[in-house]
Amino acid sequence: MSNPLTDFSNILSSAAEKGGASTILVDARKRYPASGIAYAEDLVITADHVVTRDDDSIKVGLPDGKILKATVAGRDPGSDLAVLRLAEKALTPGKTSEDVKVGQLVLAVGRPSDAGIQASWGIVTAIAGPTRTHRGGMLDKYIKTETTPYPGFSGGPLLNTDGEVLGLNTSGLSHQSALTIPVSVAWRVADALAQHGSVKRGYLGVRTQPVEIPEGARNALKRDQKSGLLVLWLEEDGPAQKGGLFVGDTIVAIGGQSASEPDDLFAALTSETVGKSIAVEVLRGGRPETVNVTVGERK
Amino acid sequence: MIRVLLNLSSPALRAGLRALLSSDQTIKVVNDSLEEDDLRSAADVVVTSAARASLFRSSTQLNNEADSSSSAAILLLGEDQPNIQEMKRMTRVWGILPSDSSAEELTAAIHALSQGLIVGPPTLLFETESEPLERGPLTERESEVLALLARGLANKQIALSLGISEHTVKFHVSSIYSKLNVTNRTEAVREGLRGGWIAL
Repeated sequence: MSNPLTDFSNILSSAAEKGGASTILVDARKRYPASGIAYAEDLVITADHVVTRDDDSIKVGLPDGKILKATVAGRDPGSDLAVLRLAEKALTPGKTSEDVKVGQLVLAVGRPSDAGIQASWGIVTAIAGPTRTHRGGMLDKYIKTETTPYPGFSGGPLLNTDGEVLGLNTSGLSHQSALTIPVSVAWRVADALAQHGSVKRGYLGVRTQPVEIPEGARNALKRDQKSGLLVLWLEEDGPAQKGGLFVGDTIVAIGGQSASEPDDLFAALTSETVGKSIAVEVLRGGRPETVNVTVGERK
Repeated sequence: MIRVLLNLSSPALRAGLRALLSSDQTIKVVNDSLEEDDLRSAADVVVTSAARASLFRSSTQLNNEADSSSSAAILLLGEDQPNIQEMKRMTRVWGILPSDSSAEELTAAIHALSQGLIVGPPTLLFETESEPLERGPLTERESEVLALLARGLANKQIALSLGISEHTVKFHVSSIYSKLNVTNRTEAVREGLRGGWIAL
């Protein structure tokens, strides 16, 4: 009869081994190397804060012990992500999964030295976002876990028990604890970084302040929210002005999502919105109106 | 007749102002004629000092009073550097004059306030004009730094982006913290966004 504990243990060690095959050593800062994940055959995704050295001295260590030079393909400090490019196609990207649940058993894996992978385990304690990170940027979604973020784990993967990558671990976004940037966010950012070197952000050209929505107007809106965003300033010929927004309008929703705080607007203006028309619902003179704005790009 | 209440703690200052205002026959100082509670509602203009004016900032009672019974405009004396932000925070403070203002300036200000106008030295009005729905209390450079903070950039990256030294960025960041009364980048960005000082 098989021992269930041994079976369980084997599942964990097998997951660590699978995920470890796409976990890369990233030597791009003084003294303490960190980790990265094979994103494509010649691309490594890692945490932006562990890349502090210049291009000519960045090295990555492969699971087979090979050390290769790498250059920065792009970085996004706001989400603490960076993509490194190798001169040759030497990597094996692992499987990813966007299926994450609170309570799920996970492993955090890192390769902070050439001695091999390191791992810790725990459950997913929360999935949340968007939030503003301690760097000031906006993170659409994050995963919190019980795993221990050992030194050099930043940039490494969070794995499920099948060894599939659920996200990228980083201690650079919160003072309190390490966070995991889910694949759904990290891979999208990495794609933009690999192609353009940076992440586009949507821009309306407005400055707003949150204001209370009077009850009458709230009923007219058929929305429950208590506050909206009063437009104080419009950039001359900016996207919002061209779209027909006026100073004095109160923005209550954008792209169908309610906007009660400036961060709601910030979160709505993702890279996907750039160049696209987005419905901005406003209160104008107490009456609801919808204005279509073609989102610009934040420079 | 413009009824003026001298809401000042110093008897000497009250007496001095009363003497200065006595040259204008259309101004009547009402301090002695009424009980304290009736004074504010009976006055058209209340003259007060910066220290006492803090009462007008914090007291809900006064706010309510200003909303209902009293329509008195308040003239604030003794601000070395008149500040429009300070003025906005206080109920019904429509005028600010430096404490060394002349009798002519004082009477002119009281006349203007009684007509519902806003009064202040040119520095104040200049500040009003350039003032910042655009950037709040921040300088142009600080606003640029704040906008980059909102994108999550580190000091080094902000320095690179603006072509200034990292040391200067640190200086600007700490000045932003102090002006927005915050202690970290997250709060600074949140305050900047809530204040409408970061364009989105």
